[in-house]
Amino acid sequence: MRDVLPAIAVGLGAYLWLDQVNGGAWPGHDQAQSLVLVQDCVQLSVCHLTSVDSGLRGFTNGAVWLHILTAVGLLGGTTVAARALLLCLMAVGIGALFLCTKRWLRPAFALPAALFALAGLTGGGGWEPGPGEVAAANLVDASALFFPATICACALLIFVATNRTLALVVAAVFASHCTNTHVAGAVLIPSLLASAALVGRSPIGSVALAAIAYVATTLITSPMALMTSLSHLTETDELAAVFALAVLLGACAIARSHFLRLDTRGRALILAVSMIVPLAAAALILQRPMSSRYLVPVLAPLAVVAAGLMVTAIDRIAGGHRRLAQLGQLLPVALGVACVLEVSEPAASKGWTFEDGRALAEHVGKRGWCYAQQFARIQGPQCNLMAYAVIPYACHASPDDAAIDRRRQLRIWRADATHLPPIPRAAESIATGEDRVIVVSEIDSWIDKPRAELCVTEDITLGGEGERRCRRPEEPDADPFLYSRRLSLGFEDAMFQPPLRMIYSFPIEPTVGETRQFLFSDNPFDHDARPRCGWQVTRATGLTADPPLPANPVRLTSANGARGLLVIERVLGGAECSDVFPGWQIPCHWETVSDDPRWMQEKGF
Amino acid sequence: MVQPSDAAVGGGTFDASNAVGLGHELIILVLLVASFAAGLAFVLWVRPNSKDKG
Repeated sequence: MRDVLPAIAVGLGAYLWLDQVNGGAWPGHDQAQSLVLVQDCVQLSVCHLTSVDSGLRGFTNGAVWLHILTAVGLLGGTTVAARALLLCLMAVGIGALFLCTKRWLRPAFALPAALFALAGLTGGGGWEPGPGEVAAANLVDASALFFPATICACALLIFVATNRTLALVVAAVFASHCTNTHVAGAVLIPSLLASAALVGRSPIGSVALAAIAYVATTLITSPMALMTSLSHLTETDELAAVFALAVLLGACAIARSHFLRLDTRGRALILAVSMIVPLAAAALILQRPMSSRYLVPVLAPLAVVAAGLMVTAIDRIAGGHRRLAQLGQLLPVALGVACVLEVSEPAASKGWTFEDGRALAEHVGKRGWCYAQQFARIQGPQCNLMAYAVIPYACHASPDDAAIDRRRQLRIWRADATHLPPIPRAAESIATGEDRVIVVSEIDSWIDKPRAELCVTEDITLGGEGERRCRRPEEPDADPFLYSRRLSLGFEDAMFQPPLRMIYSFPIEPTVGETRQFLFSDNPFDHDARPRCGWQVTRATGLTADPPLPANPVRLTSANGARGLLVIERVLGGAECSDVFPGWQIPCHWETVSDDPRWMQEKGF
Repeated sequence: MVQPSDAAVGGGTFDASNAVGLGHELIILVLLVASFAAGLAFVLWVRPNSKDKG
């Protein structure tokens, strides 16, 4: 087992590096979705067998990722432990890739392949680069995909090199784990079946064995996902699927004798191509850009092929000069190190984290602010990301709990602990364990956001009148209670196809003779003003506006305290606002009074 | 008429009637963890021998 020690060293190095470049686990819709589903299981014994929405219409993600998070939750772990587990899975995958490549292909391929794969796990990459897309701080299913995909690829490599039946069974089990972790893992199925048909002593028997091991594993981990995906396939593409399978097995029958004459490296190259081609074909057939999440299942073969081609090319260039070839082999290693070092900033370290959400939920929960009280009553920058960070942890209020006045709202923001600006009287700060604090300031708000009405219309003229479809938010934490029902943040199925105009109307109850400033956030996830595309206050009944409406921010003064309506509108899509995300959450707002510190009134967020 | 967005695939709601209890989940977890460990052990344990294609 002497060759295992270097693999352990590589895995350890990968862990330390990944830990260095990954910040705290950050919240978002997909990230929160997994956690609330797991809370249903751990807290309420309602364990889901299908996971978060699949990016492919009709296909349901399996539950392997949920099972992994559930194991963490049952052992008392938090998102810190989940992040650490992801780091371990990624690092073990890198170590396994190094070991397999070294043992079964060529030692010179191993280190560059491990480094290339590590670079792929460190940043975004692929068709849609983005830092952290497959990072361990990104608690989504695709981040857990690398380990099962690498074990599947290693087992297939061992199978095509040795024809050991056990290797085929291991590959089939891990192909199932991949597919049921993230739908992208399904690209490994053709290479699994092709390998069985090409190498197995009895091609039909080997294909059947692989299929049985795959289905049996899926029936254990994710039976509902298998049923719904098969149902979709038979309804829509049954003939195409059967035809593709027949072509694949026919081609394997023809190529079998040629394939068996190849050495291990030749077989490995064909295997890698058989893994990569289905992904490229899927991207072409579906005619859609795929995020780097979809590259994870083929990250290991891509890294090995890249390393192998470079080392082989250097060998050819060096000719018979052994020393020159040895020196040249340092080049792919240096390139791998450069790729890894390219990402050195911790991903998303400046935003909200789930640990912030947990600390916040515990703090405000002790003061009676459970989810039903918090819903739509939190003001601040990135209020919806904050909500995603909080919903897995916010308490579920019982009917006996003391009610909080409907007018009360919480203004919440994060600040640098060492340069904390002046905060309002009676505001509290919560230490988060780092050099930041969360500031919580209660306010008697004028607007009643939980009783908002959302209307959408195709008429994108701001202030125009077209046919409207209107709805009100659902009751938060209504019976039967499930954490996962919090995910819609109030408006289930309220995403619409642009171009459209969104109109929110809020009941308003102003204070006599007072002036307040209101700022509505343009982006549901950030404060990012876009001229002409952002929210505009278009109507404020009974109030004097400065500047005149439409405006945002706006200072509103009430002469008589009469109740009325505050209306805000924005355009999504069309020629000028085509890149706007059609979020369905109630927009974040920031309400300041004359007693607030000056920076709060000047900067808004 | 305003149409639902393509981004709303799946809708984000879950059917609790398809869920299982914690006991069932524990059995799944044991099998899943065992398969992860067995797969890793297999990859670590198996090495080329003279009969394999080189």
